[in-house]
Amino acid sequence: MHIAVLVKTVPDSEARMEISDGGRGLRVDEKWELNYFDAIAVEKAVQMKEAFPQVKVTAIAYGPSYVLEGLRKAVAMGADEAVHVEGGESSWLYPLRAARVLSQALRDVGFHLILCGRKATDDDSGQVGPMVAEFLGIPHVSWASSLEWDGGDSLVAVRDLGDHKEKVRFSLPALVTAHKGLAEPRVPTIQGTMRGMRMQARKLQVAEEPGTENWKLLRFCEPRRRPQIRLIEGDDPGAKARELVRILREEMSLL
Amino acid sequence: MDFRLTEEQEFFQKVVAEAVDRMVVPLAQAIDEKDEFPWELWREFSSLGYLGLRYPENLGGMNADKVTCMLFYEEITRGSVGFAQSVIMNALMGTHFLYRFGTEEIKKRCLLPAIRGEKIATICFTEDQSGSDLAATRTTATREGDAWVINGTKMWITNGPICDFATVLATTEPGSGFKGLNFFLVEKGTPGFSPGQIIHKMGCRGTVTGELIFDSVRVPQENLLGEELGKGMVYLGEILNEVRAMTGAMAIGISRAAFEEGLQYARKRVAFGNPIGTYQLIRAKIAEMATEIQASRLMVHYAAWRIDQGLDCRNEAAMAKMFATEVCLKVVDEVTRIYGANGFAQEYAPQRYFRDARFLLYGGGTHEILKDFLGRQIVGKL
Amino acid sequence: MGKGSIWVWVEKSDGKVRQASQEALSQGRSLADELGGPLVAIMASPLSKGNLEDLCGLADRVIALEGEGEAGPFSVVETLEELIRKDSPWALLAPGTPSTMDWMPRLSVRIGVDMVSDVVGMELLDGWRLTVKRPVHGGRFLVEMESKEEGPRLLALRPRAFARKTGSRNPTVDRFPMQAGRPLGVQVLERAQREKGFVDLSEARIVVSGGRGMGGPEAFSLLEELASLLGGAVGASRSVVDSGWRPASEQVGKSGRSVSPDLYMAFGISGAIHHIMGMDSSKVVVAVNKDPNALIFQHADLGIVDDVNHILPALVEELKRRS
Repeated sequence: MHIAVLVKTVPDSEARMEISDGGRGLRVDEKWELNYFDAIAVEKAVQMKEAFPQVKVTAIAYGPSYVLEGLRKAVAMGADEAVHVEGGESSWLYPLRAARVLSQALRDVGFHLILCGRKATDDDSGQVGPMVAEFLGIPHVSWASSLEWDGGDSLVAVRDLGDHKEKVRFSLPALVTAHKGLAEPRVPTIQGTMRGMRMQARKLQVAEEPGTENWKLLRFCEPRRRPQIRLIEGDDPGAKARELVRILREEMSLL
Repeated sequence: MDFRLTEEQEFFQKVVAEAVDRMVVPLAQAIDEKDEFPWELWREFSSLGYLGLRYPENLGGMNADKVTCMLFYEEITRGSVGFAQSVIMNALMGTHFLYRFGTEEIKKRCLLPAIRGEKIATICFTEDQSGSDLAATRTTATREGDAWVINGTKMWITNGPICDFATVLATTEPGSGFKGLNFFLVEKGTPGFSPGQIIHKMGCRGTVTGELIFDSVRVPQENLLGEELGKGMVYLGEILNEVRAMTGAMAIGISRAAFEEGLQYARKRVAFGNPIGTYQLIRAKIAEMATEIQASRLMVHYAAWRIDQGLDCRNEAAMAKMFATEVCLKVVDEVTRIYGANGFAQEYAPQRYFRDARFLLYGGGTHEILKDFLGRQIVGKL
Repeated sequence: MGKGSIWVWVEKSDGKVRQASQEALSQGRSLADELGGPLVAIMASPLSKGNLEDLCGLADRVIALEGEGEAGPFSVVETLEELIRKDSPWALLAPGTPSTMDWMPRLSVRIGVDMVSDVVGMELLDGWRLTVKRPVHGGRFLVEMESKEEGPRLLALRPRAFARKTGSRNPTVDRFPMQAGRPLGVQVLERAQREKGFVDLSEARIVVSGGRGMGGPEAFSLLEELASLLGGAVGASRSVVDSGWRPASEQVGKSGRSVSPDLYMAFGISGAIHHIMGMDSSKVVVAVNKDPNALIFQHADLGIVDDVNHILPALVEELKRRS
């Protein structure tokens, strides 16, 4: 059983970002990390491998050389192989293009099950998973917070979607997008870290077609800033609470 | 000259930093407050295998180069200084002589479990009457048949009271200074070997430090860790530079932890209507600290690099340890000043770093000794 | 129908039209008015009288998709693809719910047209150029994009980002068969709807959230009472979820849910950046924390520096008194 995990490398939470190039670009500190939801997907794949040793896990990433960081982390966590599909800087913002490229890579690499995060924390779009499934003509299950596999041809996933929860059964080949709760990403052991350090990712070239998107990037801007905070004073908690309710109800008509 | 860390080293540091952030940092304050050895954290962290990093892969390690080791020491210390002392004791000094000179049996019985964190290791130099002055070591090892009998008391032993085995510096020729010094392995359970008083420290809390008593402790011949008698100081000399650089790396770890706190505070604390980070005097402090931490890092990495290249670095290692330590003491002081009155409160971290940093003054060599050493080296024989 | 027509997918949950769909209809109405074309609401049968009323008089036409069972994502893709190939709309809007995000990306691939998700702003320039705004990097920035000539413009709108309007149109209702989805193979074994009165975080008008400062899981029962009094939803910070005090479905933040309520109240939350990313688009933010240096105060409109365990009971008491 071959599990392919799609991993995106995103700016880490400490990376500083600012709008550049007259608004056309975003300058980001070169500090990267494996996308949180993809780390969950990698962990789940590795756990499945540990339960069923015939499973092989391949991590796939698309983008410029910085995506090797995410691949290294995936290998350190236990992925058997890494595949780097070389791509341009702008790939982070165009899900359809990324999905098209990744699908081609997946056809090359082969898979029974594809795992990926339910979204990436840079573009927050959540489109690539279902798109890849469509390109490959396979079903997908999104927002999986649990996934059970008994080693056979079908799997059972639980999805917690806020207003309802459901349990689904599906067969391979399929794609699953990981939500929090599916697995807790491990801290790599020293052996894992060594493997990550020594990783030699397989390079794949897939034709991209930048510029054919239906949407043109106009600019980046910052959301509106909140005005200076208004602190509510009072003699005791009761007084402060009453003042708060008064403001919310009478001044702001929120309650 | 390529001053950059390799991609592999950067990745290693990142992984360890994340492990520390997730596992150690959230517990650091509690470890300091309770001053109890964090057994659960110890088990969890050591099970990852990083304690063996400087040992070969077939022992569960990764044959890490010295620069990579420094990255590890820096990150673990950044998380919790007390915990780091115990970790590093198992990773370096507490196990090195077993690795270097132990029989296969000793390695199996002590070294391997220590690398896995299943046994706690330590090394004993200091005594009541001798710290820097190792030649004045009074703990003796006397031959009796094919065994050695050890007598003496060691002080200030990190992990001492909880250790499963100890590397003990003892003299086989009392009165002959360095020439009589040797390292012996003593294991817990050996009659006459017992922990003594625990020292309650101002900082580096959470690691247990104290006395170890050797009352006619009998150990077999193979527990002499060394190929020849009397070479203890020579053997110590093989790792002294590494130990000094390591102490420098620990200093950087503390500096960085304190600096980060100070920086975040400067960004959010408001006084006179603005975040204090907008004021020049605060910015000046930040700039100076950043500069000196950068310099410390370069010195420590350079010394480590020289060790990796097989180049002599007695001077560079001593300089790195001294410089990084003095910088650290300044940084922890400045950060408590940036915090104002809050720097005095136990609920904030700066006071902990302030207290923790003091151990650097004697760990790895006091600065008086180091300066004397360096001065003699540089001035030369007159 | 055809060029200039705006289609809106109306999502139903437990047989009722979701609020976020009404927001999409409202925005669709504005677009349709500017373009001069009809607004077509598409939804799955059966159509109850309540469903039609819930269209708020905005739609000119309704297409009811007939078929057996619930509209699964694969059938929706299949059906919409057919409809689009027949009568290409100028744009297709849908509420940005997890359900929509199961079919719209697949539809995007089917018809070879990029889609935009999590849209929070929309503007029609020169009468025909559509620009949209969406958040990236957890809301730290907004990216503005312009649609090129070829449509249809596929858009998933962030719930609560657009205001609801009403109109007085009486739509014609046509039927269209729901196509069977391919590939099949995802079988729903169990489905549990949340209790009546449950308010979904992303659709709640008011969210009251608790963090570590609450002190423990027991304190959250007071927060639940507050939410109930206000008709709002309960949220939680990451550390509270990680500690097991609250379920993951309540987590607000970078690795949890993004919310845009009219009122967000943060109790005992420090305001780490990954939490801010999940709620910064709220209209009004109230923060209660006993640490005056807590970062949350830099992202709030109103603040109280005090222990949440003193303020919360006082707040609940005051609200009960007034009602």
